[in-house]
Amino acid sequence: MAYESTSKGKILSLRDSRAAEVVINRWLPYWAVLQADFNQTVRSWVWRTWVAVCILATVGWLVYRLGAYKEAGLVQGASDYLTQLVRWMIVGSISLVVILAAGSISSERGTLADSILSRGISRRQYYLGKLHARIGAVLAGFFLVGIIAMALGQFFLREDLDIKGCFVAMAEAGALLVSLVSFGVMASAILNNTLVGIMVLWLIVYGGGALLSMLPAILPQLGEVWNRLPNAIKGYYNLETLGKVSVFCLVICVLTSLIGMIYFSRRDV
Amino acid sequence: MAERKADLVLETYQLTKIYQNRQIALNDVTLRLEPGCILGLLGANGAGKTTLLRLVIGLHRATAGWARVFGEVMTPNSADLRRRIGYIPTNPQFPKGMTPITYLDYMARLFGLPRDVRKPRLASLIRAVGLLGASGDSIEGFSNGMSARLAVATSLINEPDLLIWDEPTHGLDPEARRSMLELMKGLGQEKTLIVSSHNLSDIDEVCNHAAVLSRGQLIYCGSLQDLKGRMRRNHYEVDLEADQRAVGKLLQMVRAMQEVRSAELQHRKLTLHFAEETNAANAVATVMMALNECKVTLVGVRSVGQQTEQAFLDLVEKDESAGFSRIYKNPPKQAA
Repeated sequence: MAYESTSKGKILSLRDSRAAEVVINRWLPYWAVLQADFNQTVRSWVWRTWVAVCILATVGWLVYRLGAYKEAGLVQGASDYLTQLVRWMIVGSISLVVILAAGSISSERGTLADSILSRGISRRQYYLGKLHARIGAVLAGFFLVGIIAMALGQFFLREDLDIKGCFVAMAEAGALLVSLVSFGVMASAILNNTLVGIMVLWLIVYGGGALLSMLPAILPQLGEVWNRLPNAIKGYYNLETLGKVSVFCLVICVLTSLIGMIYFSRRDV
Repeated sequence: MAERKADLVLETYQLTKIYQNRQIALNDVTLRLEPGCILGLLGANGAGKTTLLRLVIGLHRATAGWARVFGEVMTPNSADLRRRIGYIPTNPQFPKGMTPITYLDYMARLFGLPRDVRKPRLASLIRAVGLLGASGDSIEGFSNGMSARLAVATSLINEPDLLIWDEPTHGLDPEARRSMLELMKGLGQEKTLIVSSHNLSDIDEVCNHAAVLSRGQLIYCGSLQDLKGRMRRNHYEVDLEADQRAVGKLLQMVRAMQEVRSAELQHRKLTLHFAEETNAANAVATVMMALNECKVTLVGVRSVGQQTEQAFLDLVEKDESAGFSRIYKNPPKQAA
């Protein structure tokens, strides 16, 4: 079928022409949501502010360290610089990551049904597209700033960094952020209100951390991950521990995704 | 009537929707829709039209009952079924920061259409709906008319077999409304169409079937002709032009006629209700002769009963007056 306008321009008419059988790409809707949401997220003021503030903090902290070396002659190790930076980046980022994750689905409430879910996409595909886009955007921002900090430390400070160890440390921190995002997207799919979602996510962050510390030692402890960072950056890391943290975060991610997806598939939009 | 389920485009059975145990939006709706039908969904505000459409498209889950589209039960995850449906919501809203091209491309990708198919199709649709000049502009600045055109293009991007348009003429100027009606007529020749509208003249012009909802309940579902056949007959309006004395004399003569049950005059408009068994043609002819005798000029004569609006109002009125007997599908006859 083809559509054409008449000479009057306003009145529509239809012209028949048999189109060839169209082969539908079943995963295209998922990719469309993922791509659109990733682009939208990295263009949002929240993501840009987060990355800009992190880069400014990275440069500012480096300038301070260089100043201490030049003025007082105190030798500044790149590993020390990076450890403190990554720690503060995680603490400072949580607020903005919480906002990014908790608003992923609920903030789209106005157009969600009209424009997206009434088309050829399932709720599961939509949820997964959103989750993966937000995880991608958060990890992209985190690794971007991490790599910049690593390069600056390596060039301007005492070279005691182990590149592999830096990536291990960032991977561990990244795994924690992935868990946080998956909790956020779940809250966003369950709750209609973004502000309530943010509040619930904060409760999960604090309550989850406290709960984890009370659980058996077989499960990774946030404090341990925190304390291991300086050693990992210097190259004293254990891949088994990284695997344990990654698997733990993956399990949390899968569980929260399942809960979120099942609930989202059953609710009215 | 199609016998096999697969032959039906839409079938609902005891479809009921209760929101959070607080509001009964739809109550026991059972209907069947065959291919090629143009169904007009009628009902007052809050009658349950949009809820029904949202259940049919899988945006809402039924509290009880089911809706089958193309023979399969519609659920929120029925992406394959929705690929065959083109939907326009009431007051369509669009994502921010998109142009018609990027928006239609996004929508086509949501339908899983490959690049070679979607790009030419969106280009022809943008041209067809007259948005070629605004194809690079942000949708946020679009007027109601432009938004409606974009919504039409979106609903056709997947070349659907079933179109579900929820109040498509809402907020349109007369010219845009006329275009929309012409489009619906054209599309109705090859697709199945469900149109919800407040504007009964639109339904009258476009649809061949009607479903009437009143407070969440389906009170009529069938052909538009049958709906018109249910309304009060022998109800006419005559527009007159004459002095007060002549009109007064005419009114007296008309009221004296055996065929006329009641006659009322208001602002030079004579409203006539003929008796049930009366031959309307004879009765109208008698009235015309009286007009001639009284030297009253005839400006116009029309049958009020031939309008869908009247039929709709009659149906709703009948449903309202049924009271508790609405509990029964076939109300028990009263004892003599």
